[in-house]
Amino acid sequence: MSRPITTSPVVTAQPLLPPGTSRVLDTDVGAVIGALTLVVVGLWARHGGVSSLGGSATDVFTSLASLTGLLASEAGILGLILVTRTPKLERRYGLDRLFNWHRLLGELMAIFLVAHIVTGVEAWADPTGIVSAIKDLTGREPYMALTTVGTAMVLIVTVTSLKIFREKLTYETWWFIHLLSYVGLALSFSHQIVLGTDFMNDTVARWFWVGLHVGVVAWIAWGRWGTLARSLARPLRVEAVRHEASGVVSLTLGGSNLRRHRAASGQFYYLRELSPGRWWSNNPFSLSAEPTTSGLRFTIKDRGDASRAFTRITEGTRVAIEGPYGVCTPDLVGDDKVLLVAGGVGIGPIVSFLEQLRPENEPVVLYRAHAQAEVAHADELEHLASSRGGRFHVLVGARTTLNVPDPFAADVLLKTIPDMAERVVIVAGPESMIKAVQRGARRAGVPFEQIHAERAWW
Amino acid sequence: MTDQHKPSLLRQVAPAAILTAAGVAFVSMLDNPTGTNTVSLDNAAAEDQATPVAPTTVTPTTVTPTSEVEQVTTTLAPLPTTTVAPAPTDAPVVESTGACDGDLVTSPTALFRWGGIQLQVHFTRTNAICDVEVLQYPNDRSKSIAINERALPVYNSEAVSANSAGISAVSGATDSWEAYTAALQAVIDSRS
Repeated sequence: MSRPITTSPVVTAQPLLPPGTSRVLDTDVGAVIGALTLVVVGLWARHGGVSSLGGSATDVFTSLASLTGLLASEAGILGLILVTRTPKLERRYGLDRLFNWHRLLGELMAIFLVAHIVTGVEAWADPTGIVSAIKDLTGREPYMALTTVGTAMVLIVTVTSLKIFREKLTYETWWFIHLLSYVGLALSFSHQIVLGTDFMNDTVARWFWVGLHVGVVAWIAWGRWGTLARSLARPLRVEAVRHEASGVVSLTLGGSNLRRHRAASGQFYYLRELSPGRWWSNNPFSLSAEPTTSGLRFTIKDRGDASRAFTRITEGTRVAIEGPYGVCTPDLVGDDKVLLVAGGVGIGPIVSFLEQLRPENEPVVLYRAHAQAEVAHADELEHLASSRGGRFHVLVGARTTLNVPDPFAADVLLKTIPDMAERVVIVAGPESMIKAVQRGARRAGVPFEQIHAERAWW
Repeated sequence: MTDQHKPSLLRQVAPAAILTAAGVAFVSMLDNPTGTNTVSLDNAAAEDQATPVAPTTVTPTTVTPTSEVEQVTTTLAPLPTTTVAPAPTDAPVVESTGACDGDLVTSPTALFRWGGIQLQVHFTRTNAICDVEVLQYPNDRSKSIAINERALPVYNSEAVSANSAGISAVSGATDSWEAYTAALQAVIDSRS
């Protein structure tokens, strides 16, 4: 079987070993979340939270303020654990899913936080009134000035992460705002200990709570900042830059570190160009070739944002990498027949995926592009597909110029690929195309669990 | 496809079982006060001072917080009498029960979650309560001061007219009410 080495000057390139599998089960994750919730709610109930619900209005508000505060903290802690990018969790669920859950937990935290503020002020307003309560809780009470600032930071982070605002911000702006959440959570911590009675009057509970937070901070320090430090300490170099299509460039990063590196096709990395003015920008890109000891190839399209700088990178530039991440790898397909669907620069992960497939997979590749000039890696795909006994189809043109209204409709797919229903479908590209393929494949009889979408990382 | 071997039932259930057991064990280790507000009397002080003292001439001694005090309220150990009411000789006007010419008794400090309340109870010769003064109440936060300055005078006059600890609570000051009545009851008990 011939394996074309398109970019690497070293002929003795060995494919990298795939990353190890994670033994974490859904039930393990459920057990941790369940036990933490049990402890948090149990702590509240045991300190009289439940019995207070039968008391005066003030008792009820006090009790609810303490419960919502505790739950906001729990959601925050769980959300932070998800972004530590702990390999065991990442290998099991994939970074995009972890990020999704992180966002949901962040929204949940914001809801609890607002409920906590409302019930807390309401409780404190008896008998001195709302105005006095707000004055107390924004400054007059110990640590509450810090807490007010911290809460404002956390809420700013949550609001800027809402879809309508997130889309208006560049990745970097949003990310730096996001860093405020660490500060915000730290500032709000002390009021939890001194203001409520849950931790003030119960030494065991207090040490548990402090320990939990210290533990999570240590976890973040190790997982997140440790990864960053290791990545900066051992950067790769840009060994080759190739123009692939209009506005599309492929970079091959190499270095001696790769010999012991483990990665698989379909995965992605965060790349950080180590040059003045660019080092702080960290962007995800998918592998566009099978990762080997001689290099990692990424295909990058100039989309006018941070990706533009990467398309202008020169050979020899040092690039720090974090990764690999992602679970959409060829071990998903085993010996099954495969349909690969790429849209735009989604072709990158599809090329790398195809490279690790075998003739048993009988791969069919559908490549959707808006213009002929944007088609990248076409020769490579043609060669890879035919050498594996598969087929390669390119569909170029704006939707209105096509002779079918929906190129991914079930009947169109079945006409091109009669054995569609037996295939594992791997789709990479823009969100709208992923949706169209998922819909068409489901209608063509492909079981839900046989369709895998790779979010667009570039 | 990915999972070549399905994990055993034990492997799936064990973490949940262990963590739940640990969680339950932990929660049961926690303090479980019967209500949100627990009142305890500083008994060491009570033994010293609950004995009747000669009227008018004796001023109450200051109560020093004991170690027990600090254990109960971690950050709110009662302060020594910081808000001493006017001297007992500034005789309040008391109707029907006659002059306040009986014993002057200082209560133990009733400790509760916001601090401590200590009373000085003045009796007539016929053993009726004719005046109550608060020697100490939680004053380390503005809210405590606001609540107590409003409620305690009401409790004082209620105590005199009821001549017992059976007084009703002011809304928003139930924690103080519990501590106040506990302190007052301790004084009454010490004399019966």
